Amino acid sequence: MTPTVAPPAAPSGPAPSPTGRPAPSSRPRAGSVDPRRHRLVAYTEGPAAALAALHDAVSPAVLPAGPGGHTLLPAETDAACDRYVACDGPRSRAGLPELARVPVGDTDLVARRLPRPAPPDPAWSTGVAWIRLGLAERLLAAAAAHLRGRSVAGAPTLNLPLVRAMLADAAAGVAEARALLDTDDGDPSALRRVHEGLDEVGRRCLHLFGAAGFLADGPGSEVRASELLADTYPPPTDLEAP
Amino acid sequence: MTTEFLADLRALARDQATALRATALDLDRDPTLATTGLHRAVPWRQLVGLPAAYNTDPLRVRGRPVLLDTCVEQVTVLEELARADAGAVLALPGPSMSGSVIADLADDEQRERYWNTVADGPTWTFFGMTEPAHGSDPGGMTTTLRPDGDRLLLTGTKRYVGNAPRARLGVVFARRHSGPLGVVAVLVDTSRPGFEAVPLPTLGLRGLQLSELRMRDVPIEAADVLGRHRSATRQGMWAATRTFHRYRPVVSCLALGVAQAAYDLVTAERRGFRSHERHLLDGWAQRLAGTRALVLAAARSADRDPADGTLASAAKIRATGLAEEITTTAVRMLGPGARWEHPLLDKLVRDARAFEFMEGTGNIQRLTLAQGYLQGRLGDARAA
Repeated sequence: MTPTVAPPAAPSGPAPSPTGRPAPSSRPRAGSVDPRRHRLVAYTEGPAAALAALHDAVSPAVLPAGPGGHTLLPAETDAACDRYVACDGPRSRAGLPELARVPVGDTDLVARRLPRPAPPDPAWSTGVAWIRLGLAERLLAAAAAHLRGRSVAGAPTLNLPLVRAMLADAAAGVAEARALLDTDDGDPSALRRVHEGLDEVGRRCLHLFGAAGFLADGPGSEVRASELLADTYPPPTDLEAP
Repeated sequence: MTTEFLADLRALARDQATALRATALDLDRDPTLATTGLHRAVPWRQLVGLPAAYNTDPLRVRGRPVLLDTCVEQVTVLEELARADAGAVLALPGPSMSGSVIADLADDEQRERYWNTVADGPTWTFFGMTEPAHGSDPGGMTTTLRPDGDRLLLTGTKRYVGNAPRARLGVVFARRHSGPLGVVAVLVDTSRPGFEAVPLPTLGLRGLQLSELRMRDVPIEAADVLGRHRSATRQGMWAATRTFHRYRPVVSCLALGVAQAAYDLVTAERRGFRSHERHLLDGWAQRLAGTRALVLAAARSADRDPADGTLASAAKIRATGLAEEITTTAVRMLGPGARWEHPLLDKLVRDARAFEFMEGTGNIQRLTLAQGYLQGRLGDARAA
């Protein structure tokens, strides 16, 4: 899926490189990358590239666990990790079985369950939220392009008022998530709302795609990847524990 | 049909559903299991609405045979089966949507040929309407049926057609003439040359095996054209519309079954709930009951008058929305990584997304419902 409208305006702060990835020679240390750049990589290159870049910046060589003890990474990134951080210190990742493989784009995301991991790094959770924002913008742009190219009774589907209303709902969801992330002061309830809002945007866009959004090799696969990221790496909360 | 009768029928279906629950994840992984084992796990002959002559051992409720050939019986039974696995319900052999077209358009010879084939053994059928570029908009239909000597040739592409790769026959809609009355329904044998059904891998409802039909000069006999003895206004689109009106309550009951399954899963997997969560669950329970009543009303309306789809559209809007909402929120209620820890929940989330576009999107349903209301077809106080 390639978005065909202009990418979102470059975020303020350090200018991203043309690819959105930090240049290898000047790889910043953990936490020093403006998390907004992950949004742009997600928008232009999709979930796998964005996760790889976030991992480079925040958690190199280490499997990042979510609050439920799960990981979800591109297969190449997953394979390049040699350890994870347990509550009592670093542990080898050798022998951790695969939970699932989720095809997306031209690669797979690999899920694992880690035994007794340390609490997640907030920089990772924040980065995931920015990635999901970029993925939502990518999806909405692709939905608009899809509908511009289809017609009902001779008129572009994109011009039908009911379709415009759905597009507007999705756009409002993107705007709200961006506003929340732009003013992020570390409040977990704000991040939870970002994820819920972006889930709604994803569903709305799937409605815009119709049956095409249900195909395993279509835009729905990135929606699924984005939702699984939210489930794997939700912000810390006291409301969700079973 | 009394409430007590339907309650007994529902209880019977709940027993049958146990077998489907056991195979739900396997069928999701491998849709071909539908043809190798599924129809042996449940008595498919009793569940798919075969006519009395072909259903010699029907379900019985209070001693009364139940053929499942009415919408009311179908939504009652299929909701309970979908609560176990909606993909399996849609993967069952039998008439499904094509049976409705046969009921409205087939002549005696066609009817006999169709039911003899379908009841012969587990036989799958399909309903080919949607096209890649125009969805179900008949104005844009490009599949054609054109004369070639003393026979006809069928050419075109259909998409998102369930069960076609495993089907022996089905109904395809094609344009024979220009104009709104120029679309005809054709009974197609899948063994004819030039016919191909290619599976489309999907994110959910994998048991259904959605596919693309590729038809290139498929030879069609005059005897395969449905509705040839009917008037010009009783042709393809007339029957397709009635089929949608009958089948939307069924799609709604499947969505409702998925919504109920997600509710069941949350309440089974969690021990205590906080007060705001109990409030949420109470709201869901009320909406499940409300949607169930609406689906039943829509089924009654479809049985009474399949030309009117007003309530069917209302039911589909509500059931689809509820299925998406409950499955999505259930993920958050079961804690971080819920979709990894509860693969059945992950399946419910994926399955729930199919209902939005089946038999017309939510927008199409809203337009139909608004129009039906404005024309006084909701039977509300204005007519009293």
